Amino acid sequence: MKWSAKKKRILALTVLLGVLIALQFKTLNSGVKYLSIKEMYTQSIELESQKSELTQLNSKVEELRSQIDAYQTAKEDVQVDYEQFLINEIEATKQIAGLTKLEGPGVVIIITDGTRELIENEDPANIIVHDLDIRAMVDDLRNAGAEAIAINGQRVVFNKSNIQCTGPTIKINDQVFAPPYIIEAIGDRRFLESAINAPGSFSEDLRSWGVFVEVNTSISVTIPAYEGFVSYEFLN
Amino acid sequence: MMKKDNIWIGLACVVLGVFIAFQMKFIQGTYLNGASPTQKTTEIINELTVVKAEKERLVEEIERLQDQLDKIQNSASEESAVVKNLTDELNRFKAFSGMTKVTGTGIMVTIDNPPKDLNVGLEKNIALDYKMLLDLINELNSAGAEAISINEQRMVNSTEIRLAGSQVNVNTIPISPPFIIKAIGSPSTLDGAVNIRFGIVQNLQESGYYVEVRQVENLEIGAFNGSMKFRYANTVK
Repeated sequence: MKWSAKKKRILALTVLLGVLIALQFKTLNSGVKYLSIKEMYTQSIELESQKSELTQLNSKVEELRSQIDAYQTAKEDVQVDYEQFLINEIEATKQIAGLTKLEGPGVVIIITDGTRELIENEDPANIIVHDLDIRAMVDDLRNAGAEAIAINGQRVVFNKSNIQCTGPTIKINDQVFAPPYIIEAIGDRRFLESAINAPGSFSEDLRSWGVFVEVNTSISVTIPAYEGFVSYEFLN
Repeated sequence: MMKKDNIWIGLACVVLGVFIAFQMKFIQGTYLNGASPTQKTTEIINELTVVKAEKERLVEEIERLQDQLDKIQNSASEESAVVKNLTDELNRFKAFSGMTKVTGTGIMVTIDNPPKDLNVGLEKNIALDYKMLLDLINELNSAGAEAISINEQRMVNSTEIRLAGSQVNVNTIPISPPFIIKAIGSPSTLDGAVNIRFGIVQNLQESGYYVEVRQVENLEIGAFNGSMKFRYANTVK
């Protein structure tokens, strides 16, 4: 069978087309992953988060290594009294846990209900200090690197201190307080002060509502120990 | 004969043209969605895999070191009763400060952003309402929670919850929704405290977030992984 020139040409063209289509599919399935910008953004946040966790874990490894070293030498070295070493460790842990009285530079913050005249029909709640205001300020202070925080002489520790609204008063560590609230914090004075005074901080919102907020820095703030029980029922 | 052939070829070309156009449209419409299959994407994904593997290795390393430390302590405790008492006391304070891994009964709260609704212009993001997380954690504390973590970050004395961009920093680690909050304590008390009428769960749900509270028989909460050193505060007697 003799093919005409035209038929040959058509054959060549269809073969070319087939190759092109195959190529197209190939590029689609090659290893390159397609992500929308949104997904890419989520992935990069995830990456950032994992990376900072890595630094955290690395510091933990370092700390554990040095602890093992310290224990090992304390145990084997006759010069070091292991019991005394343990007592020192207990003191250090107690300090971190908030069970010791502390002293250091820091700030004293006074918050009390506003004294301005209410606008007609205005809700008096606007100028009153609420439990969530105190919580947000404690959070701001922690973010500024506060090492110890006390409210009206009650040490704030994480799992045991709840700051709860009880009508016109606020309950902290199961003790009831009325305004003014005095928050003391130990840490870098500049950081702590700006955490309260900076624009965009929670206290600025409070001030704009009319709540009275005042910050004073001090070279020596004394913060009492947490006085609750250390007992667990559900923990293993 | 010649004419008929041409018609068929023409028809085939039209069909093919439509197919190719379709294919192009399909790729542009769904696969790329405005993004480009650049190297950047592959880079991010590859780096993520590397970082994740590294993290796994470190977690194992920490477990191994912790074991080693426990062994040293235990062997020392076997030698005298005084040392044993002191070690027990030390471990009790360590647990209080959140430096140990703990297990127990409790609840697990999952909070997530609502599914994207194209009709609503503004997207709800729980990270922007992080004060609600503070409320939830305070609520759990007042219901007697003994240990709390958010997305594996243990809550300790220095823990902050901080809005940073469109995510939340906890223990200076950026985390993004869904937030999984674990709390150890009496499951029914904790569940009741957050699910109380006009309580925090209802509050969150009314704001449009997805909230799920589950009572769990066996929860595990990891230790605080950062370091806690006081630079300003000194103990006074």
